[in-house]
Amino acid sequence: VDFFSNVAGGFATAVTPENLLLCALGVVLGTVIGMLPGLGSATGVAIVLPVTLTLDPTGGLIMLAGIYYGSQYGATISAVLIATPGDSSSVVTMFDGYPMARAGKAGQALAAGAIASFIAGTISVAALMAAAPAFGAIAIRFGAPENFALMVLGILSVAGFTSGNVFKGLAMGAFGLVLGTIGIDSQSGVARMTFGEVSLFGGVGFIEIVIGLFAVAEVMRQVGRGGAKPIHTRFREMILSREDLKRTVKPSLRGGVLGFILGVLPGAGATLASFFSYEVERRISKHPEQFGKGALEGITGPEGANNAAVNGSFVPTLTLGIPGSGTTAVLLGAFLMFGIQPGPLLMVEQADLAWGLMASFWIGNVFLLVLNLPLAPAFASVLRVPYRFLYPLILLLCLIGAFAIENRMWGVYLALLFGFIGYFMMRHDYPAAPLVLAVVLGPLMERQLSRSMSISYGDPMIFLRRPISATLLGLALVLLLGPAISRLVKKRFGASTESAVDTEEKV
Amino acid sequence: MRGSSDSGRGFVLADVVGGVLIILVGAFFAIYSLQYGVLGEAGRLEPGAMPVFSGLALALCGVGVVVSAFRTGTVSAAEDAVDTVPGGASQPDGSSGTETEADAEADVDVEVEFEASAEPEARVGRALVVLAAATVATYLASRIGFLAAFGLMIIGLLVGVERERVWKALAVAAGAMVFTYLLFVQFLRIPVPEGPLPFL
Repeated sequence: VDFFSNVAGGFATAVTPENLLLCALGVVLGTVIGMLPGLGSATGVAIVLPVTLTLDPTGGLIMLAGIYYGSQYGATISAVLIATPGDSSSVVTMFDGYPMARAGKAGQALAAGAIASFIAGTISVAALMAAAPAFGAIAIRFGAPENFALMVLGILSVAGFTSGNVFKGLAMGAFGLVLGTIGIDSQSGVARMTFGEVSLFGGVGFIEIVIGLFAVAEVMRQVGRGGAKPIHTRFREMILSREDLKRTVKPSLRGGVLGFILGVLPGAGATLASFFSYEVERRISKHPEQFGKGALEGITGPEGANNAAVNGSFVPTLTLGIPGSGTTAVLLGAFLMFGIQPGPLLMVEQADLAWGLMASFWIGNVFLLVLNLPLAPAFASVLRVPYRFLYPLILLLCLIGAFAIENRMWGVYLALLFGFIGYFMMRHDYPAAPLVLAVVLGPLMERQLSRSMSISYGDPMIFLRRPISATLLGLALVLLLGPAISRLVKKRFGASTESAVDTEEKV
Repeated sequence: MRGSSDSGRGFVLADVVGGVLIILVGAFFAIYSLQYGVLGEAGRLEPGAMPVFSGLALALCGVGVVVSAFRTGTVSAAEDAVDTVPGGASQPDGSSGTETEADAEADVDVEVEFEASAEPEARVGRALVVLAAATVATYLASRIGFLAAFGLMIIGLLVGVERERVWKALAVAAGAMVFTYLLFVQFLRIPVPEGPLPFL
């Protein structure tokens, strides 16, 4: 009964005229942002975040979340029409979407992608609503050591997954922790690493870092790159046949389930979900040879998966306060800026907000379906504006956003500094997500670490003596070392198999 | 950027430099923060504890980056990563996705018709010019006004970097300034620095 009344309450919150408007605005902005190459969901949320601080928290967060999942739809448009996905989670969509577009079926590809996203979005919102309270009920029993271990798990898993070189991911996580310590220590009042600079007393601003690392750096990365020529599509091309619909529904349901499960895991996220779904669809298909040449299932499965993963990633973010990706890390920062602490108590103390936000995900998906089916060709017209005209404007938006945080130029300089750092990070494969996550979680981790050490009178073994924290830390270790161990095993196994084959051949 | 060590094995020079920088930053934070104290009575953490621990962790990771740069078969998307769309469409210069994504990536080749793209080295130069232009505009913003400074930045980038015609640059800058003024100054009431000219 509680569940249904919570869901009803959530929808009541989400359907107020103001929240509906903000949700619609968020998804439209998200679609446009997701479509523009290089402007992913994290960048979009970062640019708009300062503006939303003037709004009521529920409305502001509904709008920001709308940008997040709206950008998944937008990324599909650019993946299909210009073979340049606006977000990494739509890379797979390009494999079959672009060949379809070249074959004159861009409309079908976009329509099938939008329907798949909606189907998967719907089931994953239902799953999110069911899973979030359960997660919250478990997490409410966590003490300081468990919370600390959970945060370690969050950072390590993101650090381990986001770069080819695990040390680079870990270094960025550690760098984020270091940055998070700059400023006045909330517990002792000591100004740390400020070098007498008053502007640093409040710490290095989180939004400025995000705008710099994601937006400014991305603009720098894109400058001078020739874009692909967009393929045109028209409304009448977006009508799907019954056969196409059949080929859309099952892969999107499979993608939805897979995406949600992977989305819940910290570090995995939408990109991995879409790749997994593509592989699943290819393996079970009766015509795997069509994949990469324009197979509809190659679009609908991954599109469903990446949309569901976005909703799945809100489970740990809302209930544990542990974001599973760069964008949810930015959103977690937004929660904190609104004075709301995501975690097990969120579902109890801020029930209206939490359930309203979750309900808005489904409403946003309806908006996106209604908007995208007829209007995708209209949205796509943005792609015809050459990037050389767009990037100065994007830069202006980024910097005015950085200014608006505290209404001073300091934020703009910080954003530019982190743009410079972020550009070289991108060039040399240092991931930004663990850094952002650690900047957000660092101060919270410090508090939990401090409490844990007080409880144990300075004995660090407390983290291993308590079963939950020991399990979480063990899991973090497995996630961190897992890929390396698996590579090693494969290498050994591969080598022994090869030598066995060689021997057999010689015999 | 690849180099070769004395032993003749290849190494990624950029990763060595990056790793050393990371070690230096980490060590600096750890040593500098010792002055705040690390452990107090009864195991209580002092204000320096977290910066010291995280600085040490950063330095250790830097060592890992340097070591991995020397290992044969080091996985590093390195500079090619910059030429990649978020995850993998082949660009005209033939680069591919980062390794993480490439791991899961199916062997799919998408043939894409691209417009002309600048050489990778030239793109670095352009990127730095863009950043420099934005920094100059930021400096000028509190002197000649936010909108005027960034309007000039747009004109400068379009004419100087992108070789667009002046009238096009003026039109884009004017449009951007009107949009910014209406949305941010009038509607959202963001008090951007004003210059000597009204509305700018």
